[in-house]
Amino acid sequence: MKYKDRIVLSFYPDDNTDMILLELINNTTSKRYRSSKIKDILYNYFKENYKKDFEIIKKNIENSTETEENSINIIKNIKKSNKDTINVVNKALNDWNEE
Amino acid sequence: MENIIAGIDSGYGFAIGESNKSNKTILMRNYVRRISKKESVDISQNIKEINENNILIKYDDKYYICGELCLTYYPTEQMKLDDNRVNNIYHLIEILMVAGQLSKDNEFNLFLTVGLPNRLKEERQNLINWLQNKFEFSFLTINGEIKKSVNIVEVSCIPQVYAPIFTLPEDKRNKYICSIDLGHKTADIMLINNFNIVKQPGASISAEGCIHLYKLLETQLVNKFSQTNYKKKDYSQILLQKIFEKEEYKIGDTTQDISDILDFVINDYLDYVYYKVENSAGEYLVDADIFIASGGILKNNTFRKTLADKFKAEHGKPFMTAKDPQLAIANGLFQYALLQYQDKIIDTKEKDTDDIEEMDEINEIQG
Repeated sequence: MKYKDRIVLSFYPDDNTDMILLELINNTTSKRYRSSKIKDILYNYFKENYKKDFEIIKKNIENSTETEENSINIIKNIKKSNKDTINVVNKALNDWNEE
Repeated sequence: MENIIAGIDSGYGFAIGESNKSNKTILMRNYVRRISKKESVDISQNIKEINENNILIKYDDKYYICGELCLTYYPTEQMKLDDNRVNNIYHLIEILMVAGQLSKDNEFNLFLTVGLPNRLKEERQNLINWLQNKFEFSFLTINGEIKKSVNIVEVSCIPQVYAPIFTLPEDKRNKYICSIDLGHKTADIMLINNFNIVKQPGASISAEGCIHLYKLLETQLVNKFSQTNYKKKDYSQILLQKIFEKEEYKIGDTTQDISDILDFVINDYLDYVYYKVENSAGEYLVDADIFIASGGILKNNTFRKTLADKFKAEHGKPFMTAKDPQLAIANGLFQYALLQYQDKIIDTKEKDTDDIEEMDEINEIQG
């Protein structure tokens, strides 16, 4: 799936904080899941420390996902209705052509 | 290569096309003349950009001048479309001159809907087989050749008079509709009930198109000026067309008063159309929910309003025309093509169907 945004984290060997974080991350998860681990930590951190903002943003995003799903369903229904119409039309035209 | 969906109305008088890639409807008078290579080289020196007034085509190493450009260089050129449309080079050039302008791309796949008058119904499959092909040609300009490769992947062909139902709002398309198409050569009338074509005898009618009117206009003009210095034996098709369209006839710089003639020929053709419909299909019209009319002649306000009034007075049902009735067939063919080929492209451009208007509302709009 295409991502919306991307953050690249760089860890510098001469920065102790970077090295502590890097070693902790590497010790608690495999290389492949490092980004998921970082997201989990951030998620829990914001949920705990920015409760109000967290809830508002969560609600907005859930609503917009629903709206997107609705739009997809509307388009699907239009296409289905168009197909039904063109089937009726083509049957009528075939009747006329075969007359 | 991109897929494009289009409808092309290749009629006797005009070629009109619309696609999901064109910003506007392409409309050209159907004049095509084969010219020599030398003529084409000379004429191309005056073509700075490709548009409906500047179409010079090279196809199969032959050169064709088209539309208004043709009339500029050859003012007495004749229209050439006859009933033998399949394998007719002039018909092919008529389609290519529009198809080539449907996209800025030099190469594209085309999913195309075309129309035929009722009397040519038997030609439908031959026309489809003929057009389903890859056509390579060039537009000629001062900067050289603009090569076009149009791969017509699929073709559908429906009756021209059936097409305008797709310009109606969706909730009206499945009504009982009396569709009247007043073309240049042919006038077709068809009754359509919930998309089904009513097959009873007299329900589908082929009559004379505007040619009926032009013949009378020519006779009247010849008679009017027979005793003057302006007497003529005949008038060219394009002169008669322009006199009628502009409601004006100039000899030199002097405008001639021909309002009585125009009034006479319009009323004669109105009666001809109205009684053709009433006498052939009158018994079925009591069931009609909507009358819809198309064709360039309906751009004449007097003609449109009087025809609408006649049918409304008799049947009391809505009489509808597109804002530009000349484009209604092409627009309907395009709308049909969008339905038929919607899976061939990701996003389809649904044309706004609000440009249909009911004659009841015209006074209100114009007032």
